[in-house]
Amino acid sequence: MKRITIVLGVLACTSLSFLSGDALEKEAHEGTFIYGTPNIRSMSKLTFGPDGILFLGDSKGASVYAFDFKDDKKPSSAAPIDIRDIDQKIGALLGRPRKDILIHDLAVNPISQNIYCTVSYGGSNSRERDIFDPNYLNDATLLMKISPQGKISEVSLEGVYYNQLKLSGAFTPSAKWRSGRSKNTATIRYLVYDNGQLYISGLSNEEFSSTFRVAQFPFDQQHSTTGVEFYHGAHGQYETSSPINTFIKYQINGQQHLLAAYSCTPLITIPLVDLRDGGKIRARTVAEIGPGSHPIDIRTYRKKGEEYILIANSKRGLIQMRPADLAAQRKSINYPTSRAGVHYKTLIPGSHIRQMDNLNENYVVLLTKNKREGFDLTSLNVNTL
Amino acid sequence: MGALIVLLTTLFLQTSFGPIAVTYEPTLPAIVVEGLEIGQGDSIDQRISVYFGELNESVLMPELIGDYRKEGHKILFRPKYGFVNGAEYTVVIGSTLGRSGRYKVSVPAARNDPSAYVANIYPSTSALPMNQLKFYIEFSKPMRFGGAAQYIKLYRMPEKVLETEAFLAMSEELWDPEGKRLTVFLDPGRIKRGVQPNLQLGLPLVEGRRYRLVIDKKWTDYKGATLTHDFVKEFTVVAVDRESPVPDDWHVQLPDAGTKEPLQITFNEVMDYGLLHSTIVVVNMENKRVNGTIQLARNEQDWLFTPNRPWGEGKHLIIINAWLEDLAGNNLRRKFDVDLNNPNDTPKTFKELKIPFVPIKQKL
Repeated sequence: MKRITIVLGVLACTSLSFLSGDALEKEAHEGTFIYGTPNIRSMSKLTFGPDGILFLGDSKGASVYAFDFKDDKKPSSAAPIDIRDIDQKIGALLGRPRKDILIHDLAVNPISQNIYCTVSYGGSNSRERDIFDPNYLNDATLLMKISPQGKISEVSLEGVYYNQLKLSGAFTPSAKWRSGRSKNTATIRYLVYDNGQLYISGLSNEEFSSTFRVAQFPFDQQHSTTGVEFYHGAHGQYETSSPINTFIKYQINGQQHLLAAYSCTPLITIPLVDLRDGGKIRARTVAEIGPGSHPIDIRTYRKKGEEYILIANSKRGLIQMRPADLAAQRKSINYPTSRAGVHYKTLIPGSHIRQMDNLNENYVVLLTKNKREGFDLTSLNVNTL
Repeated sequence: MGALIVLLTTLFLQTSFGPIAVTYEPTLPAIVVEGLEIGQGDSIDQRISVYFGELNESVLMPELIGDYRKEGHKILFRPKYGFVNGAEYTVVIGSTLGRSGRYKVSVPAARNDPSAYVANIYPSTSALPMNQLKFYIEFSKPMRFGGAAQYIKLYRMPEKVLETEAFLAMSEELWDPEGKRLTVFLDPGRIKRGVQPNLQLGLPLVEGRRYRLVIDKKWTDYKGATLTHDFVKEFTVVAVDRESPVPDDWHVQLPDAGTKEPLQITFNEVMDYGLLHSTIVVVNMENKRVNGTIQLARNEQDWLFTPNRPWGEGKHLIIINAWLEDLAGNNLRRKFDVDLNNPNDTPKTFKELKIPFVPIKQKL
C-alpha cells in the first residue's frame, strides 16, 4: 500500500484528474517496477495479468517475475492463428535444429493476442521433447513472441521494466525425487492471475509439499502458503506431495473456488476462503478423469451464451465439462476408482495436445504434436465445439 | 543501342565489383561475405539475409537472428546463439542493382571422436544362475537416452545364435541420474514359473550353456559420439538359484577402532551389484550414519566399507535393507519365485537386518 500512496502523490502533481480507475491501477503497478535485467535461472510457466503484464515463473530461482512490455495494443482483427512446424521455425530463427527446440509453456496476451512462449534450444539428453513439468528436460532461457500475423521474434529481457516476487519455502537443489531429479524444478507448476491476486501452484518444503501460494499484485513481497491434500482414487490414497499441474479460478454454487487437476488425473476443488497462510486443506475430489495422463491446461469458453470448461490432456485429448455438472458433484470421491465424478465429453481424442490457451472469444490456440516429429500451433473455433 | 549500354553496364559492374564470395571462417567464427559493395545509406541487413539450413521455396522460414558487421571489404555475420557443427546455412544477397544470389555455406561437423566406453557389466562373475535377473551396464561417460535395446545383444555360444527374446522390453530405460549406468532385466515373465512367457519360451538362459553379451560400439554418448569399442562379456550358466541369501552364513570382518580399515561383509553368494550400493548403511553409537565409501570385491561377493573418518569405539550397527537381493532376485525377505504351496516360501516380515559390531580396541 505504501508504494501506491507514493505513486499517487507523484500523479497528483501532474495529471491525476485525467486518470480513470483502471489507469490508476496501472500507474500503481508501474510504480513498483524497476528498470533493468532480471537474473532468471529457469523460465517456466507464463500467465497474463492486467494491462498486458506478463508473469513468468522461475522454479529453480524460486521467483515469479512480472514484466511490463507495454504490449497493450489491440490487434486489427480477432483472426485465428495457425503455424505449422512452429518448433522448426523457432529453430530457424535461433539457428538450431528442431530437435533441440523445446517449448516449455505458452500464454496469449489477452489484449494484443501476441502469443508468448518459454523456449530452450539445447535439447534434452533423452529423445523426449514433451514438456509436462516445465523444468524437467531443460531450463527455458528464452522468451519468444508470436504476433497475430505469425511473426516470430525473441523478447529481449535486457533493459526491461520488471518486478520480482521471491517465494519462500522452496526445496533446495539437493532435495530429490527417487528418479534423481531435483524437486526445485516444481517450485512453480502453474500460475493464474485474477483480480489483484496471483495464484501459484507447486511444491514447498513443508509437511504437505503440494502447495498453493497466493500473492497480491502489485507485489508487496509477501505471499501466503497453504498445503493441499486430496484423495486420489486411481492410487487409492490421500496424497500431499504431488504438485497441481493446472488450475483456474472458478465460481461453483455461488462461491469462488480453485478448480485444479493433478497428473493421473484427479480434478479437485478448493474454496478460496479456505486458502490460509500456514494452513493445510483437504480438497474435494470431484472427478477422476483417468490414469496415465497429464492434464495440461484448464480454460473456459462461451458458446451461444453458455459457459463451458475445457481441459487439455496429454493422453485424453481435449475434454469438455458443463458448469452445472461440476456444481452437481457435491460429494468428494474418497474411494479407489480410476474413473468417477463429474461427467465430461471428449471433444478431441488423442495424445497430441501439449499446450492450450484462449486466443480470443472465438478461438483457443493449441500446441499440438504433428507427424513430422514436431509441433504445430493451431486455432480451434469454440463455436464449432 | 539501349541494349548495348545495359550490357556494357552489366559487364562493367561485374568486373568492377568482382565475384561475390561467401565462406565460413571457423577461426572467427563467422560467415564472411566478400565482394559486395554496400553503398552509403544501405544497411547491411537489408542486403544480406542468412537462413538456418537449406531454403525451401514452399515454406517461409524466419531469418536467423545475429549480428552483421562490416570489417574492411568484408561483411561478417555471427548468429546470436552461435553456429551448429555440421549445419548448413543459406545466405541470400539482394541488390538494388539487380545482382542477387543465393549461397550455401557449411559448417564442418565437429570431430566427435569416440571417447566413452563400457567400463564394466555387472555381475562381474562369469558363472550366472539360470534364473539370473538383471545386468548393470556401466559407462565411462553419460550416455544419450533412448533406443538402448538395439545395442545390447545376447548370443548363445558357440553357435553365435542371437537370443532375441531374452530381455524385458524397456518402455522406460532405467538409467541412474548421471546417465552412466543402465539396468537391464532379463524377461522376468520367462523366469517366473507358471506364467505364460515362462510356459511358452522357458527361461531365457539355459544351464550348462555359454553366452556372449555384446554391447555395440554404435551406442552414442550424450554428445552423440559412439563408443570406442564393443564390450564383450562371456559367461556360462549354472543351476537355478531359488533360495534367499542366508545371513547366518555371512562373515563380518571387524576393523580396528581408531583406524580407517574397511569393515567387510563376505556373503555366502554373489549379491546384486546395484543393491549392494544402496541397501547397506552403518550407524555409530549415537545412531548417526557413518559416511564412507563402498567397494566390492570377489565379483560382488565381498562388501567393503571404508569410513571417511577413523572408526569410533563402542557399539555400531550394520543395517541391511531386506530388499538386498542375490543375482536371481531373491531378497532377504522373500524368494523371487515363490511356490504358494510351499510353507518355506512364505515371505518373512522383517524390513531390515541389523548386525551389531564393535570396532576392535587396540591393545597398547
